Amino acid sequence: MNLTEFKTVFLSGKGGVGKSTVSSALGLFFAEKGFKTLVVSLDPAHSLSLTFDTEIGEKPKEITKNLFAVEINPEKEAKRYLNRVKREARELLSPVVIGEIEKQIELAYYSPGALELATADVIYRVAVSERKFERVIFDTAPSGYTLRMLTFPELTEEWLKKLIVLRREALKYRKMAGKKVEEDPVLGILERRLKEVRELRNLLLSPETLIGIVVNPQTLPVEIGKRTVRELSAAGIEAKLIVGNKTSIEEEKKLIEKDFPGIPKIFIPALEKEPKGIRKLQSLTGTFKKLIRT
Amino acid sequence: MKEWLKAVKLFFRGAVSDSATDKLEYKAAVLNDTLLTVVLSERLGIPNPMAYYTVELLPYIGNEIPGWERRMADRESVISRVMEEVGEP
Repeated sequence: MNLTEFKTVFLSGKGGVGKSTVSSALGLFFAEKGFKTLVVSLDPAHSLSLTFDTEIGEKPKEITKNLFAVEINPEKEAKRYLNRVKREARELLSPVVIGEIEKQIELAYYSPGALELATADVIYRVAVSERKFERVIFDTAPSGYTLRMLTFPELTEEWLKKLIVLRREALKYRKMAGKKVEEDPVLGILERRLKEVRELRNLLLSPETLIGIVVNPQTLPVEIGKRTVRELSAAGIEAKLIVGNKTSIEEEKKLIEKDFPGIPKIFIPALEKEPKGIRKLQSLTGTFKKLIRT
Repeated sequence: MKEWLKAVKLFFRGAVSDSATDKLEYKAAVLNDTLLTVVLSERLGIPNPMAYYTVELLPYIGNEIPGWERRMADRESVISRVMEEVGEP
């Protein structure tokens, strides 16, 4: 296995284990190999600005040759989407119903799973529909909940398919009754969503996608890492890489090797100071060449 | 008198053929109501795990909601209409 073969990378792990540092260093590694690479932070508490030691915004910023970074806040993304829906509703609906509808649209922001689905929308846009980079690395993988939504067809796909059938049949009968049936925006939206859900699932299950887990040689990060491996496998997704960050001593490496049998590993030694900026990150890229199999 | 008979004939013809389109329209409405019930399930107290996605449909189905609400509230009429459709057991 060569890491550069993977076109899309998701890194998961407990907060504070160094996901952003590992994502940044991996991005630099890809860029050094000549791939146009984008590192994406999906965490509202962004840290790429810190690891790259430069201000990064909502638009991809060039860090060094071939390397770009972007910080996207799914909360903002959700608000933007809901505001668009609200605008459309105001344009199309009668004043009799608009009040209730606006309330319902606003409430959708707090509905269970809203942020996860907003995150999935961002991933779809950056990695699939508007993809402009040869390599894309997501710092902060989608949560177990998002993965389950995306990978279990019964949850989203079947649900959308049933709605599509209902609408299509309804339109068919309406047409048979002699009513004019024009292109239906409802059907259009449902079919677009179905296509997105399928493409996202294909992305997550693709052999060209790497889902990695970052851990530290401590009980909590390792236990949470193990739980993520289990969650992923329950969703039919294979964790293909364990990054033992801040792992210097042989003993610690052995421990991590024992805890994650069968998954290729990379160890990044603990540094005296946190690596900040391209120069410091360069000292880490060599570690991505040494894949350890146990 | 002839005129009057003609009118009666026309009336019955209209009533019969109209009931055919009526049935089709009714079938369409039942299917569409089911879709609305899924999309608006929160209004009936049923959580909707896809609420974030389904609100996108609201601008396009919003005007159908008052009718749906009326039919949902008037359960007797829903049952009797279904009975009409499938026939008495």
